[in-house]
Amino acid sequence: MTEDPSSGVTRMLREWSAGDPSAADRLLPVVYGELRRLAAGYLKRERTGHTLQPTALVNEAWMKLAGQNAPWQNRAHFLGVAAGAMRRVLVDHARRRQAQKRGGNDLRVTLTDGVIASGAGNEIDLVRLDGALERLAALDERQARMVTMRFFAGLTVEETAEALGVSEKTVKRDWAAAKAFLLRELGGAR
Amino acid sequence: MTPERWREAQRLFHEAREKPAAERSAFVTAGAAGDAELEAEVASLLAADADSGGFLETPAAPPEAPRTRVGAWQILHEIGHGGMGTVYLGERADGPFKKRVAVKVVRRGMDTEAVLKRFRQERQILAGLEHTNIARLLDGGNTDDGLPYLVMEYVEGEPLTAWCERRGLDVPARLALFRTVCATVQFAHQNLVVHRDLKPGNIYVTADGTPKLLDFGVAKVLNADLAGATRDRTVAGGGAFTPEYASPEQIRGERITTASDVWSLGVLLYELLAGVRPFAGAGSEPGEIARAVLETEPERPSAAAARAGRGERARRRLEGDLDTIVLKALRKEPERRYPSAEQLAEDLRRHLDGLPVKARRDTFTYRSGRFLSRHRAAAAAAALVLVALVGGIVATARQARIAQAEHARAERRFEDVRKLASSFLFEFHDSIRNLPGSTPARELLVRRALEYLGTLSKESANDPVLQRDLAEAYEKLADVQGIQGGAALGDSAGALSSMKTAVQIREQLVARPAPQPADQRLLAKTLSSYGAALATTGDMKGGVAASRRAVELVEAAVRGLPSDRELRRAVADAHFFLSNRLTGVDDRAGTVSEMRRALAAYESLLADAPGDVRLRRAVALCHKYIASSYALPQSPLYDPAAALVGYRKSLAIEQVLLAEDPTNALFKRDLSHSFGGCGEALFRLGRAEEGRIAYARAIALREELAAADPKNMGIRQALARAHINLAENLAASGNPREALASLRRAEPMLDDLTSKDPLNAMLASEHATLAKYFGYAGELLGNFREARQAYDRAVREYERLKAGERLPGPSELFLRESIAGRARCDAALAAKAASKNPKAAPTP
Repeated sequence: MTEDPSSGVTRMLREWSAGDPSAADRLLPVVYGELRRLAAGYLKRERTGHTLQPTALVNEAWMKLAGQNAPWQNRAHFLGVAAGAMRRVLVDHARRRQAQKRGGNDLRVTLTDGVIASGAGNEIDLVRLDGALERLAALDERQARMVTMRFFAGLTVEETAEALGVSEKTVKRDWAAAKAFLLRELGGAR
Repeated sequence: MTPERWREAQRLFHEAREKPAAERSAFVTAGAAGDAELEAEVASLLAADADSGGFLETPAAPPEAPRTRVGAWQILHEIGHGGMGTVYLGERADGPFKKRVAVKVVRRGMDTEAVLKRFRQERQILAGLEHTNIARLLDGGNTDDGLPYLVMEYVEGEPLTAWCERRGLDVPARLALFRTVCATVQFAHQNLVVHRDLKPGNIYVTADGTPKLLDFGVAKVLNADLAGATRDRTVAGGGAFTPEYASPEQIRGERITTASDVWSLGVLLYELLAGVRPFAGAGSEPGEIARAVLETEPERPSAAAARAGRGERARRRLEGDLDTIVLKALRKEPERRYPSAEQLAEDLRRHLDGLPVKARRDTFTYRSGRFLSRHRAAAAAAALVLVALVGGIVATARQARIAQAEHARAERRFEDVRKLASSFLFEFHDSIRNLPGSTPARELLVRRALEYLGTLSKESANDPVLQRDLAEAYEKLADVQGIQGGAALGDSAGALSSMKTAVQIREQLVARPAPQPADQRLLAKTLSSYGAALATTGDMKGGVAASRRAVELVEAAVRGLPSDRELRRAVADAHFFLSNRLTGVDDRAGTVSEMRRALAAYESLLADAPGDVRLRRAVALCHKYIASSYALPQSPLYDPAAALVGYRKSLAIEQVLLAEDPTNALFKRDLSHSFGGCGEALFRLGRAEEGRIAYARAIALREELAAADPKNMGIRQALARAHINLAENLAASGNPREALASLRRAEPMLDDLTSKDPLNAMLASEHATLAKYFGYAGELLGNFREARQAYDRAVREYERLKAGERLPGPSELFLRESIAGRARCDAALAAKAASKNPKAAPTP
């Protein structure tokens, strides 16, 4: 890309805010690319910090792409877009990992953690969750986006409400319904 | 489903969620109004909702990078991963041999302190366990991105049980392999390592039939804090053990010993012989297995083997010795198992050799005892379930309870910290208060206590108890910082500021409605100390004002409570301090009359408590201060004979006090002052030689004190003072050379003291006085040039103090004497110059 990404993003965000829905489509590849680049840098251990949370990754991408002077509203929109990108990054990764596992060798050295390690978030099958989210999107696109923001980008209820332009109460209600739907789609037991 | 149907389902779902759980089903049926599909949809959503507690609440973790290289090792592929780490198959990146290794790396995000600690421990344990049957540690370190890793021997083989099954090994062959495992575990135990996770998956047999112990990831070094086993497990977040192989004490989170490994070996042996695990029938849930391990007796291996279809021959082979041996390893009480893995192996050898085994069957009493305790456990479990149910029903109430508990805990913590700070101050500090050499320790103590109290006082500004503690802490800090004469560090500015804060806090306490007499008394005390601090830094008038307010406070208070001893004591103290302050403004009559009031009050208190050390000391001090009012030549009350009488009274009391408590630094100091006073009075009375003896006693005592507590400024100031007094005595009695020697001893002390505490007016005037006596001695020796310089220095120093209104009253005279001395030297120098060179004009 020859264009300075930050100015481009700001412009696209402005267009998007102004009501041009196609701006989001143009925005996503840019954001996705930048996230991939950031993620790759992170994965190459360029950073010295410990865990880089999705939120941090998204915020970092935002700072890079839009600069610090961008209006808050744009940031909210951006978060929504970035969350979608995060979802793609993470689900793609999970898919590759599963493929690798199927072809991989037998486990020869056991690890310390047996039964009790199967805790919450870590053990969710992201590939199946992605499929369930697609089904949810067919029923209520906003709910699917909300789950994407909250789970894949680590947005808070407040940030999600802002990004979607709805009340926090609505986010909480939709969140409960969407979680029940997704958990059932995944087969209940985690 | 269509978006419309989804909206409909959601509406009913949300409405149902508002209802109590028990009513939801009926509500949904009614709400669906015969729409069976809708009813089923909502019911399944509600069921999922009830189970969705933490679902999706933790954001997805960012992916791990595929590793290509760790240290000198090329990563081939991942061979396993879990909550704590990832294990890769690797090979040496350089070198001719393609040695295959297992590389275990801590997972990013799991690099918590607890996990890292466990990882380090595993490395340390493995490094110490060189054994053919233990997978060797080959390397270890940190990856480029700072994650620790271990490189271990890569064991190609299969788990012990699978190995035996696949080859259809007979019992002796199995026992032989098992005995090797026992010997290996014994080796670890002898190296003070408990494996804690022995199971087939951690015991691999290689192609040549060598069993290898793997994974010491949860192993524990004995005699470390084994009681922390439970904590480790929860902190690490991964399963630290496998319930099927874990001992009862491990499941209960109790102390883990080598006996836990003996249990796990018992499970392993059971499985090898019977083909099933001892608690396999309990269910598949970890909770069910854990309960079975705790509560049920395993079936005899022979019976289990028969039921598992191993046939009658297998049953008979196991019946007897092997049943007994296995069950002995699987006793619930660690102390009833084999004492060691070695003894388990030994009993198996005896069995193989046809010798009688050591293990005995459980007796009937033992079994019935176990039955009873088992039922007690069941009853307790039932009670727990009930509690859990009640707890679940009142979920919101529990939230409130948690909040309450937090509050209570915060309060307890608050109390704890307050108590800690108080004990620092009131027990520890006071116990070392008069111990020579303790000054820095006391400062540290008080400062730490002050930090605690300061934090607390921010949290509850209206707590009078805390405010009192805080005020007292500031007073003690001031005391350490340098109230004149105390065991002090010499920081008058700091002391002044601390005192002022204490006064402010206590004024607030007295300003409360219906102030307590104790608060009035304590404010008076603080004001008196504050007055002393002000005087020390040269604010004589401020000192008098603070002391007067103190006197008024307690006099008013004692009128309401005339028999209150503490108040009467406070009245005496207040008069005592006011007297001292009046000395500072040169009010000699006021000094004496206030001191006589104090003396009378102390003596009346002492009459009721004749042994009271503090009162005896106070009476001595009163005599001493009255004496000093008569001692100064410039005072209108000047009467050296009266002064000597007073000093002798104080000296008599103080000698007894010191004899009773010979290491008491305070008594030593008091006595040295009385000797000093006697010396001065004797000198004024023309008994210079007797005076010098008294000075020598004062100097000796002060040198002892200074040697014992080298950082104590007050003592060194008093020592310098005694040397100056002695010099004055010597000079006046015709020994100017000895006088100079005495002054030279005082000089470095005072130089040092004034440089460390430049605000201290008393010290500064002492420094000027030193110069004055250098002038005097020089003049007597005829060294007029040096004498003039010294006098001039004295004049300048006194004048600087006077300009800042910091010149203590008596020093006015010294200033005048210095000016006169300087003039005499000028005159003498001029006369000398005139006699040498008559043409030169004499200087005016």
